[in-house]
Amino acid sequence: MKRLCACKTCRKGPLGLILGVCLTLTSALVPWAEAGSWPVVVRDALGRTVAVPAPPRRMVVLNSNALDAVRILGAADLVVGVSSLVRNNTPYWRELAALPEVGKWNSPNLEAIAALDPDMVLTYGNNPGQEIEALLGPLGITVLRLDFHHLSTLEREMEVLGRVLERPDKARDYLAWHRGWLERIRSMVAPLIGGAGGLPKAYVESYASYRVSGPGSSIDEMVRAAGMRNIADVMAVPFAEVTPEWVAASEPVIMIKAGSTRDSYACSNPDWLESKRRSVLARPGWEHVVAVRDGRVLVLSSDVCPGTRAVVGVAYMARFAHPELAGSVDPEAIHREYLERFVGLPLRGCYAVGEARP
Amino acid sequence: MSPLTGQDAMVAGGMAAYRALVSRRSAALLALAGLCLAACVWSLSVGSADIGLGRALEALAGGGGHQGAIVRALRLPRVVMGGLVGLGLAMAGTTTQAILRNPLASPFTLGIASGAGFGAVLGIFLAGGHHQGVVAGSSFACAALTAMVVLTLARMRGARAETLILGGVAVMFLFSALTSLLQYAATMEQVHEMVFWFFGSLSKAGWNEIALTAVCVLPPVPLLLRWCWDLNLLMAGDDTARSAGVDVARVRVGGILLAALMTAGAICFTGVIGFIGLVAPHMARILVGSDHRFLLPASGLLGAALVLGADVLGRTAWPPQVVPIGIMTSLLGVPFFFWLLLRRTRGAW
Repeated sequence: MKRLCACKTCRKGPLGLILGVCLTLTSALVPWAEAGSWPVVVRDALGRTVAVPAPPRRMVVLNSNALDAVRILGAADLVVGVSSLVRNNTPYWRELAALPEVGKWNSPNLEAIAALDPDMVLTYGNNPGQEIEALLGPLGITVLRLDFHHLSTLEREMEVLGRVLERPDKARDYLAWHRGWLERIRSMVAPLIGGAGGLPKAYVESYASYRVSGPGSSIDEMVRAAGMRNIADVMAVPFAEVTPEWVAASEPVIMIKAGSTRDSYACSNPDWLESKRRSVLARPGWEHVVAVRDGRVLVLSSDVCPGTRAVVGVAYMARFAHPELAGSVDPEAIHREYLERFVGLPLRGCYAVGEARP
Repeated sequence: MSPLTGQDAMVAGGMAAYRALVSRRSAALLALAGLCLAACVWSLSVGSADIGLGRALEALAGGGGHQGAIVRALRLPRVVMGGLVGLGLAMAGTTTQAILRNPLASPFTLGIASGAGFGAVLGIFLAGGHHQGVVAGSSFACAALTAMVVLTLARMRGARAETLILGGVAVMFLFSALTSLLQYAATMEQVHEMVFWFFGSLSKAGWNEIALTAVCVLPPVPLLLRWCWDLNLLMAGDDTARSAGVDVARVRVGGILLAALMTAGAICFTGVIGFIGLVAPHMARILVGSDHRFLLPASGLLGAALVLGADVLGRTAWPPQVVPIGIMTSLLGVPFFFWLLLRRTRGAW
């Protein structure tokens, strides 16, 4: 009889098959299985149900945002392999950077993963392709896809990972901190945006020049959480090209530029971010863009947006857009608390340039 | 006056027919110049800032206040850059097709665009996409290097057309592999910038970039026009051209160098804008024939009009998104390319 599922559970024979069918039915009826009972059925970033047969003991993590989450949950000791993103960023990842590398986040070496004998691979929703489930599944490796990329899904994904790693308390602890700051920033911004001027308009540019971060992008969610209106909210695609003329005609009073994915934590001199800001200010004809003319251009490191530190990025944006908050929102203090409390690192590095200091 | 002999009458008839042909082709050239001018005006009158044609033209004269300033600073550079890029790519394509005697040749098939692409990717990898000067300089240098490699290969084999094409294809694959290698090793930010560079964009055009592009694109124009008879003879075959006194190797090497300079100058700031170098010469050939005295300027004017038209369509088809110019020119060019392939099977070019 042909097996319907190739996981370790189902390979045990007819009993495994029956169990597999039960799991599928359970997942359809009850999205969240009870904590502590195994197998655990969870919903991944693609909305699919994934049965995790037993608590993972050896994990390969391709998604650096998810690795942050694993570290927040105090499960770094379960990680046996990482992607090259982590190997390139030693001061921040510390001992995790010394783990065996299994290739790029979007095209890993599956044989290198298998050689580490993991029971779980934690990766992005859409990368690598779904062939890894087909190829690693028969080896008894569960592939769990969690992005930790959007504010709208970060909380749910943290709950899922907390359940899978049997650390729901730590997940709740982080989420209370994350929600707390997000709510505080929203409540502080709310009275400021009800005036005649409404939401300040922001031009939010992705890594590439003249490409917006529009609806559907993680930065767009953060911009809205920080009390701004993204002028690209009319776009049909997340990273559309726009003309300088459209930017000028839309009259944004703020510009936010996505900064570097270089290791911001190791940075002691923000030259890299500064040069990016200078190049924006020097673009031909951009003196007609209100935000550029007024010098209100914030370059923000991608290390604080998106991911588990997204609330730090939201705080930088909120303070930049609403200087009235300078006394009550301190991104550095929020960041310090995150690093010291959840990661065990002191605050250092370069994360934002362009803002007026309080 | 003595009566005309039969031979004289034939000559007179031939001269009259030739003059009529030249008149028709000159009229076609004038029409293309008008088309190009119309494309410029159309491009100037379309934009997000709700500035119509009247205001846009007023802005060119220095008036119009803030709206005029927007036209001069943001809209006009786009038009000028689009025109220069189209002119350069189309004339480079016409030259390449003539010296290789191949209707499907273009600066892209010689690997020059792949070299430029690799150079841009290398610049982004080393300095970041926001260092536009480094990216453009690296792109230009690698395009020039590609041309040198292909020419060196060709000279070693007597500058034969087949050697140039095969050498170009080989170099194209080499640079494609190197580009993929850098993309593989790059960060997400760099990959993002690299991918968008290959889409092509006129949004980065400022007057400094335009000046540098003009330095690469415009000086070769009179030089190529001076060679138009040689190019006509080359189309008849190397032996025929040699027997008529053409220094085949010199024209071929010089032509490739000028085409490479125009191509590199055209795309180093704007990214890859495909098919103009292939399609514009063929469209011009249909309109004015294969005489390079008319074909070269006609393809240049048509190339400029095509790029400007594609840019306007790209800006207006899905506002406020801009469909990148490289995508737009390919979308318009591919159907024509298929038509050319079908024509080619019937032996016409």
